[in-house]
This record gives sequence, structure tokens and C-alpha cells, in this order.
Amino acid sequence: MDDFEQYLKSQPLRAVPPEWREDILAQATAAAGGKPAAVALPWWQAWLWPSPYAWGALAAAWAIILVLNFASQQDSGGPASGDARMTQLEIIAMMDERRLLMDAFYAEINPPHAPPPPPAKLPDAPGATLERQEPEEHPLA
Amino acid sequence: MPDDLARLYDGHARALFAFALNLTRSEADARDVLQEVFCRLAARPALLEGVRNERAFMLRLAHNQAVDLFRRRTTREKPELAREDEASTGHPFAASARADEEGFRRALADALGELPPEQRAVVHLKLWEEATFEEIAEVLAISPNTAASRYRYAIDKLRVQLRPLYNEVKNLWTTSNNT
Repeated sequence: MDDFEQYLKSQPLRAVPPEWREDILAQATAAAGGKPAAVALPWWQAWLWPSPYAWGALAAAWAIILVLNFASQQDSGGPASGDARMTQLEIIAMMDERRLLMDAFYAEINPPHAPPPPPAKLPDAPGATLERQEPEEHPLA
Repeated sequence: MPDDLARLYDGHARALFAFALNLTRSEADARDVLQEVFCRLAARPALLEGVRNERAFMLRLAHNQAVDLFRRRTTREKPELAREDEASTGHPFAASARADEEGFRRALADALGELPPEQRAVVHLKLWEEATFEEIAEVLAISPNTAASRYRYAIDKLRVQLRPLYNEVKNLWTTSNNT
């Protein structure tokens, strides 16, 4: 430390105004009385104490995720519309059943007059060929 | 507890007030800082348990309070304006009967006021608390190298600004001593 620094160091600093002492001590004591240090923090406050903002942000993020999840379930139908889908399937099945019953009923009261035509000769039947059969010339041609 | 608080006040309030006044440049703010430090100590006496250097710990509390005050102020108003308003009461040095000494102290207060607060804090702790750079680093939560470099920068600035006045005061002092 050179002369200049020593000279700066020798400059006396201001004292605290003496009338502050009682006031500051009284207020400090009152503050201690108002919020005694012996009283422990509530458990949740003690748990959140190291980083309350981080915990708050995490809680907010979870709340947003839950809201988004709920909203997406609402948009896509959700479990309630699953029941509705089952009901529609049941209705379709019931209608199919009624149609079959009706077909059976009409078949019973109106039996077919002609036997069904014989099945067409399949190409893979014996004697069948895949070659195109040329039509016979018309006798008048 | 009040006895302990009184002991702490009598032992450290002057240093805390001077430090806070040098940082905030406002007597009202320095009082707020001092008040807050003692309220915190009164509310949580366990803070001082196991503390080896009470003074350093309390200076750290005061520094933190002053930084909080700066932050609050920068969000509400320009600190320079507050500094101008408080210029008359924010002088951190005792008044002197000698005009040359008083002039130098005012010039020193002004020069300190132009330093960035972080450099001012280091200069204060080094010169008027006679703290080592390691102790300063502990109070300000910086590295000792940072403390040392801040001190060098600040002293160089003060030297440039105050050298002419310092030489003048020194000459006057030498002359008066010789006669």
C-alpha cells in the first residue's frame, strides 16, 4: 500500500447517528417477536424452501400437462364416446339380425319357382381351355 | 437476545453503516440496510451460529441487502437520480474542520461515487475494513483474484482523479508541519 492508499485509508468514515440505535434495536426486537425464530417453518414450506420457484414451475407444468391431456381426450371422444361406439355396433348388429330374419321370412312365404342355374363351367374344369373360342360362322354370312 | 443484539450493534453498526453508505450513497438507504441486517439477525439468531468472523458475516448480509436495494431500484427508477437526490446526505466521510481536508474528502466521496458499486465495495473493504483479498472475496462472493483486480482498477481511477488534489493537500500538510 503506497502513500496515496494510506492517505485514503486515513480518511475517517461517518459514524452512525446515535439516535438510530434505540430505534433500530427496538424494531429488530419487534421483528423477532413478530416472527419468532423458534417457530419452525410449516412442513410444506420447509420442503419447498430450497427452490420454491422451481417447485412452483414444476407444479404449473404438471397442471398444463393434465389440462392438455384432458382437452385432447375431449376432442377425440374420450371414454364416454367409446360407450357410444359400442352402442352403434350393437345397433348395426341388431339391424343385420333383423335383415336376416326378414330374408328368411320372405324366403319361406315365397319359395323360388325355378331351380338355380347350374354353375358356370370353370376354366379349370376338365376339358376347359383358356384359348378363346372363335364363334362359328353364321350360315347366312 | 436484545443484549446480544445490542452487543452486535455496538460492535459492528458503525462499520456496517459506513459500508452501506458507501455502497448506496444514501443515508436513508444505508439506514434501511442496517435495519434489515439487524432485523434478520434478531429474527434468525441461528444465522450467527458457527460463524468465526462476525464482522465479515454481517458485512456480507449488508452487501446482499444493498444489492437487493439496487435491484429493486433499477426496476422502479434510475439509481443515478436517487444518488443526486441523496448527494448531500450520502457523503460517507466524517466532516473536517480543515478546509483542505474537507475538500479532499468531498472529492474522494465524489470519485468513489463514480466507481461501479462492485469496485467501490472492494475499495471500501480493503481500505476501511483492512480486509485481505481472501476476506473480501468471502464477503462479496467473488474470487480473490477478482477482488484484487477490481481493487487495482479502482485505485488507478481514484489516483488519476485525486492525484492533483492529493499533492496539494500533501504539500500543505508538509508546509504546516515544517513551520
